[in-house]
Amino acid sequence: MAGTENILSNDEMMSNEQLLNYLQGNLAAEELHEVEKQMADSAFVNDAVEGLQNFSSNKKLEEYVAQLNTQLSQQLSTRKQQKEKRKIKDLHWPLVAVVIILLLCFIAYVIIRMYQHNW
Amino acid sequence: MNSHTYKNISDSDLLEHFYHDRNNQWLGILLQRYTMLLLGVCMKYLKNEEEAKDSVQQVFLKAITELQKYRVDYFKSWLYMIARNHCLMKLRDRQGKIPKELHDNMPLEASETDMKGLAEKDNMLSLMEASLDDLSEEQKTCVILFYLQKKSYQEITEITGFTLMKVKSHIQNGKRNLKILVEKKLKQA
Repeated sequence: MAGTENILSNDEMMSNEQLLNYLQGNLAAEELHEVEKQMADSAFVNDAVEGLQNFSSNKKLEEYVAQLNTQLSQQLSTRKQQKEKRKIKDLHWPLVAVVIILLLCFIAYVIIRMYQHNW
Repeated sequence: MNSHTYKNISDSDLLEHFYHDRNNQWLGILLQRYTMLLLGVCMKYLKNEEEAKDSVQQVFLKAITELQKYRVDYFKSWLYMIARNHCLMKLRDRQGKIPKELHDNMPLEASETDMKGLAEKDNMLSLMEASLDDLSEEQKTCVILFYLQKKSYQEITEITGFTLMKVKSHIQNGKRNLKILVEKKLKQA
């Protein structure tokens, strides 16, 4: 039977454009089948399409996606900056400790030398 | 980092890059691939556009925090699980209980790799053809119309007279049963 191999195979993820076109009913038969095949293969995609069909308009949906993506990028760059700041802060105390230890070693060395001289 | 530049990198490769250099920007590219799908999932359960949008943000936060703690192998299924659990929690807070419609039995993608492996086996096609006859009449009709004749959901509802929900369910259950039947026959062989 031709096409039987398609039943258990899974394809790559679809693009946002493809999804939007599916929602608007703008896909050719073959592409439409690809989207529905992914829906049948994946509960994630199926739930998503069913939810996306409930949005009042595709324009609003696109706006939400753009906003979410921008917020995500901002959030990740803030986290990165915080991480770098924390790194410098974290480095501060070990550095002070090393300087104090070195200073103590030096003082100890000077004192020992002084005693040796006196003898 | 521009998401389009990384279009050809798989999810698992992006995650590998992140685990290698711990640069959050990799997570950004990865998560942005799923923004629209997550928005759809949250909308399906919460049925409120603003609430769905806020939930996607929270799902992103949770995903970023969790990914920094441990390694994830099946990213897509994992992310779906996080989003679904988040929505279920919200609904529980809202209604005090989980609505019945959320107890669906649709498969997660965790088993996809096995299926791909199965599809590559030489004697698969004949086994599948034989197994198709073992499915219930409704499932067999829907599976054949959908996968072999490449009909759309809408066309299948028109041909069979089933509702859209029924068509989806027959296709999904038919596929799952077919997989079980084929695996059984492979073991016997």
